[in-house]
Amino acid sequence: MKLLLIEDEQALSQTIIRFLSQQGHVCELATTYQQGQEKIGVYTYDCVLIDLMLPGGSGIDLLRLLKKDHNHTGAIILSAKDSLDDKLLGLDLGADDYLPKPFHLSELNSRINSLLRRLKFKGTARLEIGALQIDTDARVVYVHEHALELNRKEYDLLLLFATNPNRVIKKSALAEHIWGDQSDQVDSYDFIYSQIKNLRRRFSQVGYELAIQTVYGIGYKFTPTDQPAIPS
Amino acid sequence: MRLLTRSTLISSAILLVALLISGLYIYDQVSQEVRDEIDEKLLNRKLEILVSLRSWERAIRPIPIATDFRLDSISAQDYNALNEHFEDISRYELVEGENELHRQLVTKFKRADTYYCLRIETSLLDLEDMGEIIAYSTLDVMVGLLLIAFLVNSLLQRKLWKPFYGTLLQLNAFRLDQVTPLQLPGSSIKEFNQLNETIAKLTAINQRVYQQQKQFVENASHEIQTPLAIALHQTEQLIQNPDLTANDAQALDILTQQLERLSAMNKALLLISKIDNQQFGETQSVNVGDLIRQTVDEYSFLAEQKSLRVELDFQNEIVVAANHHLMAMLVGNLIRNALVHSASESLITIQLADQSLRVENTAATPIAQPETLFGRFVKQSDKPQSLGLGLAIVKSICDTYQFTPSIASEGNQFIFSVSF
Repeated sequence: MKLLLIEDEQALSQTIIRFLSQQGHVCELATTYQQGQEKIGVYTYDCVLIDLMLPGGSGIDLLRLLKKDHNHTGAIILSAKDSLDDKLLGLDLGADDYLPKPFHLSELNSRINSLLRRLKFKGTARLEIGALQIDTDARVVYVHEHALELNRKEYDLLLLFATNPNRVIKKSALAEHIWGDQSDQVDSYDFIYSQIKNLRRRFSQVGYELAIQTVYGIGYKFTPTDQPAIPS
Repeated sequence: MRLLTRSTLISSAILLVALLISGLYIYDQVSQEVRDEIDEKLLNRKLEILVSLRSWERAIRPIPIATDFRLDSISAQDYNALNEHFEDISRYELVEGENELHRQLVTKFKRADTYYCLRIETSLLDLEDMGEIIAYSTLDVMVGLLLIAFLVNSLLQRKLWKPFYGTLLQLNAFRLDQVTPLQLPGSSIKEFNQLNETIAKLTAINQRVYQQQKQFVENASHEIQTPLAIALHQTEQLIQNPDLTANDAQALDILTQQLERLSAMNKALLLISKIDNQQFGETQSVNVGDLIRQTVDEYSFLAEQKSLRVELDFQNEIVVAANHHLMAMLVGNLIRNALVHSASESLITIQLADQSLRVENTAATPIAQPETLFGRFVKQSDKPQSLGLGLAIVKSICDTYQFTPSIASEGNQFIFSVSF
C-alpha cells in the first residue's frame, strides 16, 4: 500500500517509515505543510498519516484539503495535541482515526491495516492469518471455517496479534489496546497474561494451537501457523 | 447584605439617633423656656399679692378658701432659715383625677412683727402637653424623613449604582477561556468608568496570560511527547531483534517501562491542568447510572480475573450537568481503582442514592490516612508502578463541577463517595 507520512520530527518519521516499510508498505514523507500540500495535490495515496502541528500550517487544514480532493484516501491523525477539540474536529472533517502520541508502532500498524481493509474491501474481505480468518465487520473469527465466539476484549487482543504477526508486541501496547488510553494503570499487566491464557484456551477448545509466546517478559509474539484442524 | 440595603439601614439608624437627640434637645430647650416663663409669672403674682396685702389693715389671717396661694405665719427662726425658692410639687387634680406636677414659689415676708411664708403655685400642665406635642411631632418628622431616606436610597442609589451592578453581572458571567473581551457598560460617573477600565484591562491581561499558558501547556506536551514517542519506537524496534539476549531484553524492558511511565505522567498532568483550567467546555446532561453500567461492563474481564463480585444498587437515577468525557473519566477512575485495589474474591458495591455515588470495596491491605489519596502522586506502596494520579484527576473533576468527593476506610473496607 502507498502511504504518506506528514511529520516534521525527523527522528520520529524515520522510525515510522522504517517500520511501515518493514510491513511491506511504500511510504513517502512530507516534513512541512507545503510539502504535504504538494504531495497530496499531485499523488494519490491509500492512506495519509497527518501530524497536527506542522511548520507552515496546521494538519487540520491538510486534512480538509485531502478530503476535498481524495475522498477515498484514508486519513489518520497522529498528534501530541491530545486535546478533545482537535480530536473531534479531526474526526468531523473526515479523519478515519486519531492516534495520540506517543503511540505504539504495533497499534499504528493495526489501525492502518484495519483502515485499509475497510477502504479497499469495504468490509467484505476477511483478514487471513495462517489458519485464522477474521471477519472484521462482524467481529467473528473462523478457524478453518469453524466460527469461534470471542468476547470483546479477547477479539480486540486477537486482532492486534493478527495485524502484527511475527512481531514482538509490548505488554504496554497490549494493555493500552485493551484498556484504551487509561494509562494510569500501567502496573496491571497481570491481566494480559490471563487474557492471553484465556485466548489460547478458546482456540485449543476447537483444536487450534494459538502460537503466542512470551518474549523475555517484555511482550508477546504471535506466530501464525497453518496447522490442520484436529477433529474434535 | 446588599450595598443598598446596608446603606439604607445605616442612614436610617443615624437619622433615628439624630432625631431622638434633636427631639430631646428641643424638649429640653422649650421646657427650660416654659419654666423660666412660669417662674416669672409666679414672681409677678407674688408682687401682686404683696401689693394687695399691703392694703389690709388688720393682721393677716390665713385665707380659708383655696386660691392660687397659701399664707402661713411662721416663727422668726423659720423665717430666718427660709430662702425664697421654686419647687415642683405633686397636686391631686379633680378634673384629671390624678396627681399632676405643679410649680410652686415659696417666699417670705414680715408684716407688723409677724413672719409669713407665702406659697404660690401654678400648674405645669402646659409644659407636659408641650413635651407630648414635641414628642409626637418629632416622631412624625422621623417617620417622614425615614420614608424619604428610604425612597432616596432605593430609587436614587439604585439608579446611581446601576452601572456598578451591570459590571458585577458581567464579571459573574466572565470566563477566562472565553475568547471575546469583556464588554462593560459606559457610565457618566467617573469612578465607575475608572473601575470598568481597570477591570477591562485586568481581564484582558488575564485572558492573554491564560491563552499563553494554555498554548504553553499544549506546546510543552508536544515537545515532551515527541522525544518520548521516538524513544519508545526505538525500543519497540529493538525488541524485534531475534538475537536479543535475556540481559538486553531485561534492560530494554526497564527502559520501556520508565519511558512509558514518564509519558503516562505527562499525559495525566496535562489532563489535570486542562481540567483545572476548565478547558473542557461543553456541558451535557449525563446519566451517571448509564456510565456506571457501561464501565462495569467494560471492565468485567478484570473482575472475572480476580473473581470479584460487583453489585449495583441504584435506588434512583442521577443526571448531572457536566462534560460527558470528564464524567466517564470520573466514574471510570473510581471503578477501575476499586477493581485494581480490591482483594481477590471480594465484593464491590456501587450505590446510587439521592444525589450521591458510593463505591465500596475491600482492599488487600488496610489503608492509613485514606484522605491523602486525593493528592497528586500519592499512592499505595504495594503498587510501585501506579502513578498516584487517578484520584487526583477525580478530585480535579469534582472541583470543577463543585461535587463533594470523600474517602473513608474501616480496616480493609474502602468507601469512596461523590455527592453531586
